Amino acid sequence: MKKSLIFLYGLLVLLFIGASLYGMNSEYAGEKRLWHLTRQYGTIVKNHKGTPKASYDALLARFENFIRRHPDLKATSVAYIMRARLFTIQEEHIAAVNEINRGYARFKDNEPIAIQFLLELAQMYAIQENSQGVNSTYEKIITDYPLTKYGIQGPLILAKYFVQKRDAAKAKSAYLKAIDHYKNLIKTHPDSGVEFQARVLLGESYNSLEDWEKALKIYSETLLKFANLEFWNRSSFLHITQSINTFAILRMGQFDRAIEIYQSFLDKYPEHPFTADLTRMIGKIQQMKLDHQKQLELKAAESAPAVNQPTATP
Amino acid sequence: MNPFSLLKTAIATLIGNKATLYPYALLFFLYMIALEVLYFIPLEPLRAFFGPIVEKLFGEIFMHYPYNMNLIPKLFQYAQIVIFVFFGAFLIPTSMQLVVQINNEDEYSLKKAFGVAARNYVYILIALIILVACLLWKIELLNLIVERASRIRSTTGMFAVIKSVILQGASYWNILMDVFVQSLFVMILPIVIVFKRKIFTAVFVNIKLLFKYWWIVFIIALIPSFLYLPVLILRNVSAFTDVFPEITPLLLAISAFLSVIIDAVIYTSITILCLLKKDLR
Repeated sequence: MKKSLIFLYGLLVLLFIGASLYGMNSEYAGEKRLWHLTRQYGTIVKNHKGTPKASYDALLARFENFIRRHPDLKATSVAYIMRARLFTIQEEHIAAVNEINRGYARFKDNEPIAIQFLLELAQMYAIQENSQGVNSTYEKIITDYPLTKYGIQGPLILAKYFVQKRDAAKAKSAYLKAIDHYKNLIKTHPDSGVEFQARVLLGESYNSLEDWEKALKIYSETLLKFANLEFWNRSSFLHITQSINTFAILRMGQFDRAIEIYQSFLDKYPEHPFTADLTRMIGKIQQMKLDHQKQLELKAAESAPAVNQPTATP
Repeated sequence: MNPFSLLKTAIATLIGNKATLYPYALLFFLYMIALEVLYFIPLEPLRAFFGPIVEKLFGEIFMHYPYNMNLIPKLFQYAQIVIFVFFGAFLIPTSMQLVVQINNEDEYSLKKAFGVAARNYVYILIALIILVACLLWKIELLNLIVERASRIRSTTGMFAVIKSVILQGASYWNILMDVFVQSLFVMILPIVIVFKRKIFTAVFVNIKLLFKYWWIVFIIALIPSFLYLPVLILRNVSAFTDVFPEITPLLLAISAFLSVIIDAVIYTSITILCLLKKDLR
């Protein structure tokens, strides 16, 4: 028994050593090494002003060493990004951009990683207050990766960036461009997930331009056309109905318009899982409408001159 | 009957007769195999088989470092339960039978002990399933208590003290409740092995004996469990695992080792108690 146990425990240790050696150059092992380097980066970021230049250089060298040793790992893309961020912290913006471009060139065939590099680049340009750079980077995302998450959302993100920058003219122009882009996507990818996303983003663009009528129209059409559950979960469904309520009731004061949209949906899809939610919503809107009418009548009564009050004689 | 001298005798028996420790060493080996498999899941060739399961049940993120380290304790707990129930039901009675053989001053024979354990496997399996079911129910109960305590809003006074005692001492309460539940069932195993009773008779006799020997059994289960406290304190200090996530599997290995040692001491003590107390027969 003793010998068997020694054999078994020996086997356990051998398996551990064997598996560790076998996986030494694996993606997982790369992630592990990179995690420890990223922690050192975190320490520098916490106290970036008090960190001596030598510490930056040492960490940059470690990341570079990682890139050289593991050129084919996906995790290596993070090493490029970390190097670029280290340059950015030191305000060496050109070096940072070069680092991102170097990483992008290496990973341009891997779509998700390539997009990650471009997003990082846009972020860097934003830090440098380089609107032109942000614009051109997002244009690249939109053109080269049009049907990815960021490719589709790109025009709207760009418009929001200009809103944040308080550049009203560029923001408006970006929203108009986004509208054209989404209209084009709807036309070129009919009845698909892309059309659905483009419609939602088109509605958002109209909302930002305060064109409630068009926003309401596009949302109601989307609701009626894309009822299938593959496009919705409960929260996204409630989000769009809340947007419809906001446009129709709050912005345009048309209670019946919202009820009409929901009623059309119920007539078209009587077996839909969200019918209970919509029926409840119609009830609430009707109640709101009654309350609103009462308030209006009350206000009207208050503001009208009293009939029986004697008029003042001159 | 002094529980401390029983514990002392049990430790002396285990150290003096290494064969009684072999089954526990085998149990620990199985725990370690499970831990090793869980540790290497993100690597090939295990990744090909376990990867899709982990991704589907817990999410793709848990196939990456260091998030996989957060999943290992949960999966290892499940693995430990399965190993303890299905393999422990064979290995623990083997060790008990060896103690019985030593007590009878026979030449001890592992083969014979394995034979006795195999014959009583189903009974012990049922007993361990009952024990594990109660321990799992206890975890649910403790979670309920902790959840209720976390909803206490008082910041001063009696309720604040209760909240703090429950929330900060949850791990320690967990051990105490474990000891309590284990004390309720721990005598079933020696009753089956030493007195060769069937499972339902053993459960009935266990209940009867608990009235008489409750405090002895409880102290026997409690004292070795203190061994677990340092690991518990280390596991509660997240600073270690934040800096070196690999500490997590290391702590799991240490806690598995200690749980095997604790089980060995408890079950041997209870077996000796059964052997010494003639009225138990």
